Amino acid sequence: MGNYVFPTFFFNPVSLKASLVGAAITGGTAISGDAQFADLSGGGRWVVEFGETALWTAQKVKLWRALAAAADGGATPIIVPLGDRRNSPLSNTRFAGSTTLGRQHYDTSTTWTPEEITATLDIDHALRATQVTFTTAGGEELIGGEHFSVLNPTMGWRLHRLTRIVSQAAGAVVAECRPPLREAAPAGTYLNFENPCCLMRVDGEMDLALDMLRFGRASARFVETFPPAS
Amino acid sequence: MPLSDWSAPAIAQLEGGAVRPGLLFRMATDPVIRLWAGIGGLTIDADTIETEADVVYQGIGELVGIPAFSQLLNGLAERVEFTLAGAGISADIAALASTEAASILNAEVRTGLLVFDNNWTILSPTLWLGHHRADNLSVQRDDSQGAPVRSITLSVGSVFTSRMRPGISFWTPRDQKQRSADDSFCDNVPRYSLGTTKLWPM
Repeated sequence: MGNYVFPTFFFNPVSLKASLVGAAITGGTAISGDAQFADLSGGGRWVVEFGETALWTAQKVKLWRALAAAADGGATPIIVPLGDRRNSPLSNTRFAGSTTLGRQHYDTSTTWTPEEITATLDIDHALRATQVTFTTAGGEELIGGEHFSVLNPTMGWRLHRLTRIVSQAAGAVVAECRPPLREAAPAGTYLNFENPCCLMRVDGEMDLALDMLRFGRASARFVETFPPAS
Repeated sequence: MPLSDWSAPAIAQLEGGAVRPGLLFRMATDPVIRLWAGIGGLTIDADTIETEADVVYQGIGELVGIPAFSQLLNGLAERVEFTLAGAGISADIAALASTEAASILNAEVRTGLLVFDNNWTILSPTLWLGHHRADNLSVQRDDSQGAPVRSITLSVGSVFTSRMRPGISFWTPRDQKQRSADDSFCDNVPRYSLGTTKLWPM
């Protein structure tokens, strides 16, 4: 049993937007023009939008259609790699590994091991932790804004973004991240900086329209999804 | 735990212009239903209401609506409704809506509030504001907004709320005799005609 994967590197979308969306409410605008604000989301959830993906080969068209059908209107969880290698801490942003995540549309692996950047948690981290302590090797110095993923045993792939580097020396890093960890992670858990991804579902329509019965352009919007509570 | 036990930073967070509250819902069925209004899982410290430690409140979009409820004084009663998402519900809630519906009756429903700090760390103990008794679950489907919306409504009442329907009563001699066999208080009621004006004194 595996998961469908959005092959980001194969489709090469023109635009990528990864946003953390919360649930904000206000109490109305005061006479002064100010408004009180409350965020009930506990840290937000991911929304990833790929815009204007050019599908100029039959293989791309067929693969996009296969995923659109497999999405079942949003009921199917899909692993979505961001494919944002240029803004990752990779020393060489040109792909040099062997992982197929992001290059094929179905993945049956249940574990993940790094090939280019090895980052592991130094201590046990509790559920909803927003500070991560880890040791990293093989990548550039972190500055904040980098994405990483954690493969959780129950929640699957969860995406996070570094917001601030508290300390960094000789590969030992303490940093803050958002959203909070979706599941408790023990020491030794890998942090995937080289190909961050998230378990999501399609939001809205995904199918494409063919121009001249040959070329297609399509967009896709994904929203973070969670497995049902047992 | 009362608000007076909250730390000064927690109260300051609540009084600030940007607040990070967490709303909790707990229904004491078997198994206990634990939901919160945020995203992902949440664990809270054990207290007098949530006596189990390290339990996870689920936040996967199940809690759609928390009603406004009042502070009930002097024997006041209220009935409010919680709305749960009906599209992708957990097996526990699905069972409560169908085969296990009888187990909901009078289950304790608690609603709690806590606040987070700027790093989404819980800053306060849980303030359990609402205390109700569950009554029933009903499923609704709304097709008026384009895409159909299926929701589950949980009706809960306060301690003084019941589901008794008041009997219709009339002030006829027969009804009064049923209430009190030897009471002739209403014996002259049939002598009044509708619309008659009784002049005083006669």
